[in-house]
Amino acid sequence: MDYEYIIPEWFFTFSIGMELLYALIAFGIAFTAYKLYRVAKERTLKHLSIGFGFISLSYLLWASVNMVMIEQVRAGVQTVCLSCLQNVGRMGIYGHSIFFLLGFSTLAYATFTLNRPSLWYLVAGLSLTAFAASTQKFLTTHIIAAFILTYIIYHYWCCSSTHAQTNRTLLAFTFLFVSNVTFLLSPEFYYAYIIGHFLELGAYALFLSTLLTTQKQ
Amino acid sequence: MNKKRTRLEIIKDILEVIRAKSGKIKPTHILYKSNLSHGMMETYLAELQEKEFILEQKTKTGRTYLITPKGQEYLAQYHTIAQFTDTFGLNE
Repeated sequence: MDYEYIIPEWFFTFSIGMELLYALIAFGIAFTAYKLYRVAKERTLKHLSIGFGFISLSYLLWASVNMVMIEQVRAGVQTVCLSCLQNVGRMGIYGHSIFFLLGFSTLAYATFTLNRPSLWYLVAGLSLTAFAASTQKFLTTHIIAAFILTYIIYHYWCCSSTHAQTNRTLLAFTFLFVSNVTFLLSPEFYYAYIIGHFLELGAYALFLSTLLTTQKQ
Repeated sequence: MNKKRTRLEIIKDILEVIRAKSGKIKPTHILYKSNLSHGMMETYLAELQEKEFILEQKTKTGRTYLITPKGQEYLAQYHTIAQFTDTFGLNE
């Protein structure tokens, strides 16, 4: 079955803007983590930087695909499917999903206490293998992302008992989890696409406020 | 009971001990001031050398450690680094 979701025409331009905003915020976190990694040489900072870097790239690709689709949507087409897209569009969809999954796999790895690249290979490899083998790419991407996020949320929930500052990050990842679950409904219900985007907006607003707080102090 | 120190805090404490001794110190002084076992201290000193935060100098009387500009930079930015890693739940 094709990768597809339903977009209401009035929301289309908003969704592109939101995806670009998420890409910018994720890039901001990645860049800050990288700058601090250059000073502290801590692997967790490096992996956080790479993870958010992948996620930023994935949103950029998603926004690009939607921009390619924009003329079709203005003509009244509401369903985005793989067979509708030219090769460039399809590459954008696959690229978005691959980088999305790599991003969350890397973020999960950043929380591991063991420093074993083979663990990253296992998590990322299993995610991408499941994606490649699936005929329902869109659903598979968000199911895998939601699963990885349950682990990340559990990690932050454990951390929040000793570090109250992680509460905002915990809430942000929870919003991301709920948004990924909501996107699973978007092939059937167009409002799921809208709600998913607004949940992501909440998540990235929390990430942004966390980032600005760490920069101020 | 004191809260267990994170890795970043221990690194900061070691570098501060070295800086407090005009940037040059013997391992035994680090051991007394940093509240670490001998084994842990050697592990951290090896790590700090690998990260180029400190330099080891071998003299006739033994080893001394000097703090490098990268080590100074770490101390200058420690608060931001710690805040960021705490907020993003990265402290091991």
